[in-house]
Amino acid sequence: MQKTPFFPRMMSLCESMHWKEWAGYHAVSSYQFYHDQEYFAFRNSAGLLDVTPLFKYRVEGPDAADYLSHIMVRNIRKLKVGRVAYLCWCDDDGKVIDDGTVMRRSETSFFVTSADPSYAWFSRFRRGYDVELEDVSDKVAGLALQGPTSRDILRQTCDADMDQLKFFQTVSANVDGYSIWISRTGYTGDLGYEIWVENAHALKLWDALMANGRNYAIRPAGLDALDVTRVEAGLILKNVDYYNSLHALIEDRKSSPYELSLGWTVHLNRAPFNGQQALKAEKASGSQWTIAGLDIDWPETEALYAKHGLPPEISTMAWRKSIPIYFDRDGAQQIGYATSGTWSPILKKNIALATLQTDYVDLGSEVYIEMTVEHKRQTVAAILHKPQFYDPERKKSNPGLVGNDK
Amino acid sequence: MSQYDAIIIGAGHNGLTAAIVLAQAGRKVLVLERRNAVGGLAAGNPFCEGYISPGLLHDTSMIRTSVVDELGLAQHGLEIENTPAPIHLLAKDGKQITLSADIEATAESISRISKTDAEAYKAYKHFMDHIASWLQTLLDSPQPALPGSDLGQYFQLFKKSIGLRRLGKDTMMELLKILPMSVEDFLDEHFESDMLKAGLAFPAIFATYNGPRSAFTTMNLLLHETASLTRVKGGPMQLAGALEAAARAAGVDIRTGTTVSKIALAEDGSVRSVQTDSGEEFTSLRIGASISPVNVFFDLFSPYEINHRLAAQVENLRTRGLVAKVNLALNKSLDWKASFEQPIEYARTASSFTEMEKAFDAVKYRQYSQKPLLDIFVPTVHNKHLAPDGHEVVSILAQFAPRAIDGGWTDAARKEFLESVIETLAEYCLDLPASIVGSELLTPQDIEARYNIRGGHLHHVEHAIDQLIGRPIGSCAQFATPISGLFLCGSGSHPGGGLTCMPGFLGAQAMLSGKD
Repeated sequence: MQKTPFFPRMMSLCESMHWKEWAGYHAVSSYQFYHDQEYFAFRNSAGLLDVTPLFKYRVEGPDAADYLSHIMVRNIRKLKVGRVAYLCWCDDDGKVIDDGTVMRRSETSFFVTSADPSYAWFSRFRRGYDVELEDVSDKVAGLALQGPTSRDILRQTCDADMDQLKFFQTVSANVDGYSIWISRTGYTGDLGYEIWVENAHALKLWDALMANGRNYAIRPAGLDALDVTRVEAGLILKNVDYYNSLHALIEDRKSSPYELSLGWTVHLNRAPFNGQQALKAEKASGSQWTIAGLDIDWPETEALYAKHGLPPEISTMAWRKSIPIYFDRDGAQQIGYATSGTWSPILKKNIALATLQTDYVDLGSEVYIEMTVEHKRQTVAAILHKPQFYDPERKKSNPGLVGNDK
Repeated sequence: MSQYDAIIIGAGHNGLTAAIVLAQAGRKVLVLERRNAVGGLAAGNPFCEGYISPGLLHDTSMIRTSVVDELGLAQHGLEIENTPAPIHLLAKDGKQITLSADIEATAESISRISKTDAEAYKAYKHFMDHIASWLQTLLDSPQPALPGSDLGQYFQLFKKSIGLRRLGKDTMMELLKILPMSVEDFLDEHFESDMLKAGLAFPAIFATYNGPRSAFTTMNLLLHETASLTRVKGGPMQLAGALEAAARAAGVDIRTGTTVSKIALAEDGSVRSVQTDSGEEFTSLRIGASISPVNVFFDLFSPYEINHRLAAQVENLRTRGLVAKVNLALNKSLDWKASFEQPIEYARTASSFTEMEKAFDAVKYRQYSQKPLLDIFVPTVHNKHLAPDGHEVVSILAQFAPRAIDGGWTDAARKEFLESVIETLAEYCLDLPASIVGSELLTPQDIEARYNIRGGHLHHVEHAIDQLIGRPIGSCAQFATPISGLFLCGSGSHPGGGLTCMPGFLGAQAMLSGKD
C-alpha cells in the first residue's frame, strides 16, 4: 500500500483510524467515528479531501486535441483553453470503460483524470499523433476542497482571481512560491474545487489551506462523507453503478454512455472516435437501460417498520449493493436494480440511484424497491426522479462577478 | 470533382490489371499514379546515359497466363511463352547447370556434376508436377476465409482440402511433412551436389527474412517451383507496356504524376473520394489500392479513421526490405567463365547452403552480406534497345541488403556493397570491371523512396507463413477491407509475390462482386 504525500497530516488527524484502500493508497474513510460532521462541512462550510489516488495523465503535443478526441466521447478539439470537460470513454462497441475529466491547460497541453489505470488503453491510440502521454499519477497530488466557503479559502491562499473562475474552468495559480492549478470541479455537486500540485509542495498546500480555512470552518473529510454527497448529486461511481467494460466478466455488465445517463457527454456527429459507430446505432434504436434517481417513500417505510413495532432503521452511511426494483407492488415484474443509495441529511429523503429498463422510466411515476424488514422481503414505493437530487445554485454561480458575466 | 465507378491507386502491374478487369466489365475507371510513368516495379528506368534498366522485378516466370488471356494482353503486344526461361546456376570454376522446362535436358546438364542428382532431379520434378495443380488452384483463387466467416467459405476451404486428398495419401503425407521444413533439410533428402541444391534453394529465400536453414522455406520453394511457368519476351517492361495499352484501350483514365494524399470517408464510414496533394478530388464508392497495405492504412487516412485493432495488425506486418537492385551498364557483352551456346538471360550465384546462410547471418545483426547472393538478368539479350549497339545491361537483385543497417546506408556503405556485388559477379565472368561504364544501386531505402513502399520490400509484405495465410491480415484477406468500399489489389493482398498479376485480377473481381 502506498501513502499519498498528505499521509502524515491525515494520519495525525484521523481519530477514528477508519481507513480504506483506494487505488493502492491509504485513504481516510472518516476522520471521526461518524462521518456526519465531515458531510456537513461539505454542505455548509468546506471539506478537504485527498484525491491523489485518482489516476492522472499529462497529454501534450500539437496533436493532443485530435488524439483525445479520438479516445473520448467528447470532441476535445472544441474544448477551450481553461475549460474542463467531464466525460467518459468507450471501447469499440461503445461501452464505457471509465469516466473522468479532461482539462485544457493550454492549446496543446491537457490534464486527464480517471478512476482506473488508463495508460495502456490511451497509449494504444498514439500511432500517427504527435503527442506525449505521461502517467503523472505518482508525481501530482490532488486535494478536493468542497463546500460553500471553499472559494473564500482559496482566495486567501493563492493569487488566482477566484471570482472569475467559473464552473468547470481551470486556472494556474501561485501559493507562496510554488505553483498549483485549480479546477472548479468535484464529486459533491456543490461549490468546490480540485487543486493539483507537484508532490514536493503537497504538504505546504495542505497546511496553507487548513490555516486559511480555520475562519471558514474547514474540516478534513473522508470518503464516507463524500459518498453521501455524490449520491445526492447523482454522480455515478465505477464498480458500483457500472463496470469498466474492459474488466466486465460478461456482456451484460457493460454499459453505454446513454445507459449511464451520460448521453449528454457524447458528441456523436464528428470525426471518428472510439465507439462512434455503435453509439450512433444505439442512438438511433434506443437504449435498453437508463440510470434514474429514486425517492423512496418515507411514510411507507415507517409503516413497514411499525408493523413490527419498530421505528425505521436506516443507516447513516451511503450503501452500495444491488437491490431489485419492481414495476408492481407485489414484486412480480422486476424492471431494474438500485446500485447505491443514502439517507440525505440535507434533503431529509431516502434516495437511491437505479439502473432501470428505459421503457419504464417516466419521471414522477411510482416504482417499488425491495426492502427487508425483520428478515422479511417487502416492497415500498419510490418516485422516479432525475439522478441529481441536490443542486444548489452556488455550485455554478459567480457572485463576485458583475453584470451578465454572473 | 469527377465521378468514377472505381478508382485504382497505383499504376503498377497489379493496379493496371485491376483497372483493366473493371473497365472491361463496363466500369468507368481512374488510375492514379504517383510516379511519372506507369508500370511500377515492372517499368524500365533510364539509369545512365543511353542505358535503360528493366523493371525492378525482373523475373517474369510467375505471370499467370489465365490473367493474360482474360485481359487480352496478346492483342497489345505481349509475347508470352508457356515455358519459363532457362536459369543458369553458376560455379566459380566455370561449371554450370541449366535449369529449364525440358527435364531431360536439365538432367543431362546436372549429370555433368552428379549422375545421381540427375536421376533424383527427375523424381523431384515429378513430385512438383504432381502437386502443381493443387498449389496453382490456391494461387489462382481468393484465399479462403478463416473460421468465423460464412458457410460458403467453409465449403471452399473444404473443397480445397479435398483437393489435397486427391493427390493421394502418400503425397498428402509427404506435403504435410515437408511444408514446415527448411529448404536445406528438404533438398538434402534428394540431392548431393551443393551447387545444385543452392541453386534450387535460391528462390525459396529470395526477399524473405530467411536463410536456407530457416523453417518453412520449403513452402516458398514449392510455391516457386510450381508457379514458375512462363516467360515474357523482352522482360517485365513489355508486360508494363502491354498492360498500359490494354488499359487505355479499355477506356481507363490514367493519371501519372498524381499523388493521392487522402482517402476521404463519408458520414457512414465508407469511402467517398480520393484527394490528391495538388488539391484535386475524385469521387468513387469503390477504391482499389494496389500500393502496400501499410501505406494504404497509415498514409491515406487520419489516425482516428483506422480502428486500433486494425492499426495494430497493420503495424505488426513485417515489411523489411532485404533485396537491393544493382543495374550495370557494360560497353560490351557479358563474358561468362562458363561457356554457353548462346547468350544467357537468367543466372544465379550461390554455390552452397553455407554461403547462403552466411549471407543471411548478416541480416540478423543489422548488416548487409559481405558476399551477397545474386539473381542476375541480362535483358539486352532479347531487348537490344535498352543499351547502345553491342553494349549490355545487367540487372541484379542482390541479397541480403536490409533496409535498416547499423550506421545507415552511408555513401561508404553503398560503395562497399556495390563493390561487393560487382566483385561477386566478377568471380563468374571474365574482364567484368573494365567493361562497366555505369551503375546504379537501389537499396531497400531507395526502393522505399522511389516507389513509396513502406519498408522497401519487393512484395510489399514479407513472405512468411503467417503473412501468406490470410495475407496480409485476416480482415483484409479477401481483398475487401474493414473500410467499406476500400479494397486491396496489390502484392501484399495475395500470396505469390513478384510479377503474377493475380492480386490485381482477383482484387478487381472482389470489387465487382461487392455490393454497393
